[in-house]
Amino acid sequence: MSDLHSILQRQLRRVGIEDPDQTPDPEAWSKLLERVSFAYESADDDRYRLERSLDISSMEMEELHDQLIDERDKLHAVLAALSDGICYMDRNWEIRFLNAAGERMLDVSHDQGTGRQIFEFLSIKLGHEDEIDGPTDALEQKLQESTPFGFDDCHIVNHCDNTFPAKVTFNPMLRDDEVVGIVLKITDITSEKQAQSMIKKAQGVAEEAKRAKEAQAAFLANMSHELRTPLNAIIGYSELVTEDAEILGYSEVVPDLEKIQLAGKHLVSLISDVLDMSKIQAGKVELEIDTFKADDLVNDVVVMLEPDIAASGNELIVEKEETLGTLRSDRTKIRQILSNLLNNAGKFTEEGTVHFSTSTYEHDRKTWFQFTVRDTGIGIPEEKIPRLFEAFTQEDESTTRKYGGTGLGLAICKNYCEVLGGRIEIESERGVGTTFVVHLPSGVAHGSFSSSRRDDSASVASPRASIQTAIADSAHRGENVALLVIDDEPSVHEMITRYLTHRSVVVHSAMSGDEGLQMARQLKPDAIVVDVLMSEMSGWDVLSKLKSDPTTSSIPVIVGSILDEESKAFSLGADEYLVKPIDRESLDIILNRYAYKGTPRVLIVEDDDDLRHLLQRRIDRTHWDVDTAAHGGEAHQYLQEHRRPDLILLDLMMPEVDGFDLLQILHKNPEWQTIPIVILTAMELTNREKKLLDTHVRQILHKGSQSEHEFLDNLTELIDSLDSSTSAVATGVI
Amino acid sequence: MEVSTFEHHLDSGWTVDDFPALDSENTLVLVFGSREYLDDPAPFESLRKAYPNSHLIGCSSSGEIHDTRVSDGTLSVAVTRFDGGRIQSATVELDELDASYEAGRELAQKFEDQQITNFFVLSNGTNVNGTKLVEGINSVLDESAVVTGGLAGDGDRFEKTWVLDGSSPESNLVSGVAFYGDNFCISHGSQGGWDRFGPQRRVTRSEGSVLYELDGKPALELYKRYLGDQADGLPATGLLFPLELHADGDERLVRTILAVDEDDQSMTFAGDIPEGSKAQLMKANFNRLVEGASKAAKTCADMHEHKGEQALAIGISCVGRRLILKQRTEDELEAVAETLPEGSKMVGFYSYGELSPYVAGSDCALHNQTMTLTVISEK
Repeated sequence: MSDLHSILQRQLRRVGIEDPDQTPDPEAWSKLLERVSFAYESADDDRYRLERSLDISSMEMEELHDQLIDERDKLHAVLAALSDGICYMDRNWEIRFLNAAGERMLDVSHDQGTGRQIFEFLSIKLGHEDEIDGPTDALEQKLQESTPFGFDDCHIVNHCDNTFPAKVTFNPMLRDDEVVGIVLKITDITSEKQAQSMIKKAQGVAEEAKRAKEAQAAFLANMSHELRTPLNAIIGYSELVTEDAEILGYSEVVPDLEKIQLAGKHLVSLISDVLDMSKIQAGKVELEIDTFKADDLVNDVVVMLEPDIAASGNELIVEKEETLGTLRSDRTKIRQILSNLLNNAGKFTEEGTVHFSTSTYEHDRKTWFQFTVRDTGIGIPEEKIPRLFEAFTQEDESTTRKYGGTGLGLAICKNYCEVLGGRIEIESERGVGTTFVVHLPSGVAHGSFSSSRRDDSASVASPRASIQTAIADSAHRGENVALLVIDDEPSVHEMITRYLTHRSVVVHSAMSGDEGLQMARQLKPDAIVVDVLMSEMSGWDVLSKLKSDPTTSSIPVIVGSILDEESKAFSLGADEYLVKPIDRESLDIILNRYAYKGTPRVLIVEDDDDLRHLLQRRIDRTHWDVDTAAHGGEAHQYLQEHRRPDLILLDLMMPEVDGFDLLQILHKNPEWQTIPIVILTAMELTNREKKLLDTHVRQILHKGSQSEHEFLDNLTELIDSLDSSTSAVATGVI
Repeated sequence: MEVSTFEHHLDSGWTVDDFPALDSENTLVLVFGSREYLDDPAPFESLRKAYPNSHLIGCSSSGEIHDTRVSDGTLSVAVTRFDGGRIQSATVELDELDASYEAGRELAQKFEDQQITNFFVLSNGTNVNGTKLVEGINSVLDESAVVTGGLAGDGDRFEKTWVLDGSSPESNLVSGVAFYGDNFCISHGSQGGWDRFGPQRRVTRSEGSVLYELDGKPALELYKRYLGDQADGLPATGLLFPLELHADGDERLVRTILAVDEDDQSMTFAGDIPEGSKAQLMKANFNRLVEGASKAAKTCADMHEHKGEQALAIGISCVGRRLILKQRTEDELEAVAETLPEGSKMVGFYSYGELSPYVAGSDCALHNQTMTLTVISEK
């Protein structure tokens, strides 16, 4: 019985058949058959149900399989479309999948690669020496950290020795925290690298362009020098010839010669404009900030431009507030702006009126100056206005032909206005007239413009501070300060006395240098004020004599000038400053200023032969003796071999030993350092150069460009600070 | 201890002339019967009278197990008087599916939480979330208490079940018996014998024990496809294809259908169907099921250390098994009887759900489609 199927065994038991070998009784037999039959039926049911389930689930599985294939195909299509190389590897770095980009990068097909180690097909170059060409310990270790890692900038070298720059990432595949595979992603960064190098090149080009711009600016500066030099000759010689013609009675050619001079001077102003514009375009506009009275500036401009405006039959009407107050700004640039506008107004107006008005107003807690130039001239058509302030633009070319000019003036004006923290506005109507309005803040704020500037505070404030100290020190010793004023202009004495009487200052007056020296020795005043410009003996000479006499050498000397011009030259530390082309009048004034009784001698140091000869010829006509040197070296040699000259006219830009070098040489020699020096230059000095000059001639401190009021105000200020003191300083300048 | 078993037939009455005289405070009277007794509670009155001091519990079935036989329209009764161990019983109401967890807690809280060796639970079978009920019970009882039991059945009708409260059968009850102290020797085993087949699916829409969608498609549609012409027999025929569930990291559980709703194409199962868990259809054949039952008995026998003279064996097997086994159902009972510890007297029922630890030592959980055995003896 135990051999029978367990079901049958149980069925036999159910019907009471204990021994299957025995024939069962009919009732039991019938029951058994019934049970067996039912079991068969049930088994059939079971089988039917299971087979049916199998069918359905097979179909489902098939559908799923199709879906999976579909998904896989999609995935492969995506992977194939990727530009990155994707390689799936098992834990032994053997390739299991490689996408199309990967096949291309590694030069191996998916089928060929499958089952082979990745490093059979590539190595990763990290630097000149470093190379990964197998599953190194370091790689394995990184893999164990279970986070993606890679190299951003490396080279892939494939088994065909093809190399390309790449970024590679290894992504560990995890199952139950166990690394079961690695997905390697390779990004070809060739084009990225190319782009980078393109950018670099573009940067190079940009730098090149910048350098070119700078070179252009330098070229223009040099060209202006080169252009001005022959122009100097033209102007200079035509002046000489004009004189000669007058003397010799050829008066009919004089007007022609004067036209030559005028044309030459016009050309010089055009060159100035071009030079200014080139500085603007190169972003090299430099500011010289100082404090000055707006009234003086307005007066200056009016005086300067009135003749030109009147020349076209125009009337200039000046309106201004009674007192405008002071401006702390760049005086030269404002003057240039206003001159330009007034000049334009005069040029484009005939038989009309030019209004020039100045007023102030408060805005944004600041004081602003408003300069208005209104003419009744030809006006500007509306459509031309927007481009009016662009460089090289005039209303049209015919305007240029008719009225002349470079078309740069307004562009320069606009830029200067902006650099000074202000703006320029225009209103115009054809045939009615044009109005330009300039708004400028009373003080130029630091950082309000981008052009480079020098730090003016050092060169202006420090001499002033030293004088304050000097006078304060003097005052400390007594109740009354004795002040000696040496000036050949009686009004100056009057002014100073009037300003200082209410203070504990006793003013002593000397009307000449000799008298001053004598009084200084007798009175031993606490301080001496010397005018730099005296007819007989220059202020510089007085100063040097005071300093060389032991009895007066310790007295602080204030070298001052109430004169307005040549401020630049003085601020340079030079005694005078002549801007080329040097006209006869300026030269005569200079010579007169330094002329001594007897036969004074001047040394001209100038490399340009024409200019040197021109100057020589001109000075020859005076009572001066003239010697010349073609460069600094020659001048140095001359000084060693000859008696000390009374004046040196010095060019700055020379080959070999230049003007700066010579200044240094002069400075080092006690005998030479007192020789008055007049700088000759056609070139605009940079602030750096000016500073250099300053240092070179430091012992002659000077601050020029002051009006009477300013001079006196400053002096008052100094006297006011008498009770605070530190150490004595021998010489000061206001 | 002393165990005595007998039956009551709807047509012929009690199979014994006199009830065994085993009444005591520690006597357990277990009664499993067909749904019809809900309308004819007289036999319960008789039992109550015969055993006034005993703990009388029971529930309706989808087939009463008595020894190795399965019958319909009967009461299968086991009267067990325990001599050394103490028992206690209680009943709570469960009116709503959503209250299953609370009912479990409420029931467990009715017992002294001391040294409960075994906690045997019978619950109504159509209006209960077995998973939540068990969670509620587990949340109160000490971990050392072994919880077994089952959900009442109603043939293959899935309409109305009953659970006894004293002598009166009610359709909204959960009752439990606690076995206190270490004088009891309790073993249990639970096995299915079903095999997964076909694709693995994901539960994409469900709410509690109501399943709407698998892989984004109505679950009912899938069942109908597999059932073919047997779909008319839903929900009962759904038992032919139980659903195996496993959420990530969790044990695999088998879920069986309690109801279908054609309107919203949903199926209600006997326990939770968490969204996101994986689901796979299961199938079985006669041999595999019988083998499963045998294994459950083997587990029980291996676990049962005490080989006393008598033991009470409670077999709770899933109605789904009976649907497959049909007239061969008794074969699974015989397979169990052959393997159970010697001296075991078996009563039980075909159920709508089985309660038992997944493996020995783990928390009780709701099972479906298993043969679940609890064997109780005294040392």
